[in-house]
Amino acid sequence: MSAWDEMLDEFRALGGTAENIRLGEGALGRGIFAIDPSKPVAIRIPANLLMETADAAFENGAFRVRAGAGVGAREKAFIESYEERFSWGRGGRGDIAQVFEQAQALPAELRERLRAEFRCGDWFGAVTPKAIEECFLASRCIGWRGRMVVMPIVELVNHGDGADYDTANGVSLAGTFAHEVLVRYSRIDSYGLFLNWGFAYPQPQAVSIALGGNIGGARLRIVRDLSEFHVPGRPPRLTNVDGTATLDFLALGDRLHPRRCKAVFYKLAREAGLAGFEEAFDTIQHANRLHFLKLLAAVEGFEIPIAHTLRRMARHQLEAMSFSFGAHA
Amino acid sequence: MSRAWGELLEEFRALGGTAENVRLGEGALGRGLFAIDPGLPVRLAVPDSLLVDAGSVVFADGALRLAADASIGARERRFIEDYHAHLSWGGGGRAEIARILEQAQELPGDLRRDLIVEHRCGRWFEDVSERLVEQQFVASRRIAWRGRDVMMPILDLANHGGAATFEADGGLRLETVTAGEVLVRYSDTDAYGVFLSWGFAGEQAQALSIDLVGEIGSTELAIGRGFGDTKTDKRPWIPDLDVGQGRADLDFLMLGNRFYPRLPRGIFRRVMRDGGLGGADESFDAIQHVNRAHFLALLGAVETEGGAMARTLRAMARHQLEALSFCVGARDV
Repeated sequence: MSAWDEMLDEFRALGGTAENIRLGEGALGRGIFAIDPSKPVAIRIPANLLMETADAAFENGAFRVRAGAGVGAREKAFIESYEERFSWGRGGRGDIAQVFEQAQALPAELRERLRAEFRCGDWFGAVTPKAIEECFLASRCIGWRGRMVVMPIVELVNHGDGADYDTANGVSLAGTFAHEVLVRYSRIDSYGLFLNWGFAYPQPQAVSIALGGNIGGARLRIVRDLSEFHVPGRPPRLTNVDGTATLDFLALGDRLHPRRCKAVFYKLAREAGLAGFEEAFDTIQHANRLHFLKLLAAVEGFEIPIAHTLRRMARHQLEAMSFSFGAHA
Repeated sequence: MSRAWGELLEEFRALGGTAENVRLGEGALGRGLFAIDPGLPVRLAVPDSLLVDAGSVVFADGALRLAADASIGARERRFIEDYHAHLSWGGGGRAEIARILEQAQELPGDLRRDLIVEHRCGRWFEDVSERLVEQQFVASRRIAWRGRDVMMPILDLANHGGAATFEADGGLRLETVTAGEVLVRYSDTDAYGVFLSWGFAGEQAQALSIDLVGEIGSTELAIGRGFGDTKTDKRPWIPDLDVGQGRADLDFLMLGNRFYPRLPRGIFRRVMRDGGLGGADESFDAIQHVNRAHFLALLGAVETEGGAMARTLRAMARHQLEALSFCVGARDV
């Protein structure tokens, strides 16, 4: 029996579901594949195996479940063994470290600009074990019942236009896949995907970067708080914070609903009694476009993987942002 | 070179040309024209008699000549042929064009085909031949002047940039004060147009739409790029709209302007209103979207390509997208 099958046996014994899946290598690197593509794939992580990220610890380079964590002994043993044999210890740490190492290939001055001016995340900061551990956890967790939890096995599935996570009963995903099993990690935009996972992928929507300015005679601030962005149909929230109209987020482009973004902003601004919202929306889009075009200029001339990734990310973001024409009622 | 320059300038003046306070030199943009005394204006003027039709240019044994039936005096003909032999075509102009074409050849064949057909990046990506070098040279040195396409000796040595423009009164003139290199805005075209004509990436204040056909309401709307690469006539940014049976044609359309970001939408609204066409705002958004998608697709096509031409294409697309982005609000026109 292979290590993979042994692990799955124990996983099932602990209440998990893993049907018709195998570990394999594909275009995106290591991932999960259907054993029989004509049959459905089903994976479900039960609640007892969804450990809070705060309970993860790294000791001597190994992934551990912190003493006192709300996880049973058998579950703790399973998670630590799983992490050692299939995740953190077998490629997971390496994947994250690779992004950091690629970033280090850029000149220090540019890395600082990427971090501070272009807000491209911790990838361009100092490479430390702690930074790698934090990025690893951030890239492997999911919001579940108000907590951030690590999700074994499901985290091996690569991002793509496939299934969505179902968090109603544990964390699960299901579907029929002709080739690799793929799951949409998030509804976040390409910029957000890069910040969290360090890769570039086209996403349906583009959300504004955090910025502040004026709308008519009033101050407007966009925070880019995406903690509730995953809720389908959840519009941005416009609140008054110390006299500043504050939006938690603002979608600027949507490949599937190109007339929606302006309409949502217009409606919120109208309801809040803000004038000049049509020009304000154009200005916000313009500021966002320039941000990513300047990023493209900053990495021009670098023919290394991280520069290619940044270019792709910026292009995907600009593409999605462009899908805004007209405004529906 | 300096002797040829001095002698040619002397003959240029004898033929009615003006060349004051100018020297040939090398700068950040390669060979160009420079002020001798930065405190004084540079004045250049090419008289009518030296503005020969671009169609009169022929090439024989690797040399640029004027066709036998070209309408030009014997001394002027000799000057232009000497000028091209020593300073322009034979003095680096041919090599410059050949270099751009060679850079394009370094890209894979499939990509070059896509750049011609899908991304409409012009003839730079065709298979190189001496004929192509000649044609691209002439195309990059001509200027629209009084309804004709003419070659402009001496002035064609000035590199692109700055705010100075060619003036079309009394021949073709350029007057500027500069601390260093004499730069001239070749044209009011956009970054895409600059690349098509001259093969380099330069920031331009405005972005014009690519050629495209769409709909505005139930009317087919076709947009051209009839602004001209090298127009010397001052013209407003308002395009001509020709409304026919179920179809409307715009000769060009400005979509973004770094200095007047409220102007592009304002102009489109007015032109559509004057033409009795509704739905202008959403159509304008859609035209912008198609244009952005076009240049983003070009960026995608050359994203991981190395080499000078890939960098030029990326810079051009970026400049075009930046200028496109300068469209904020609308003002009444």
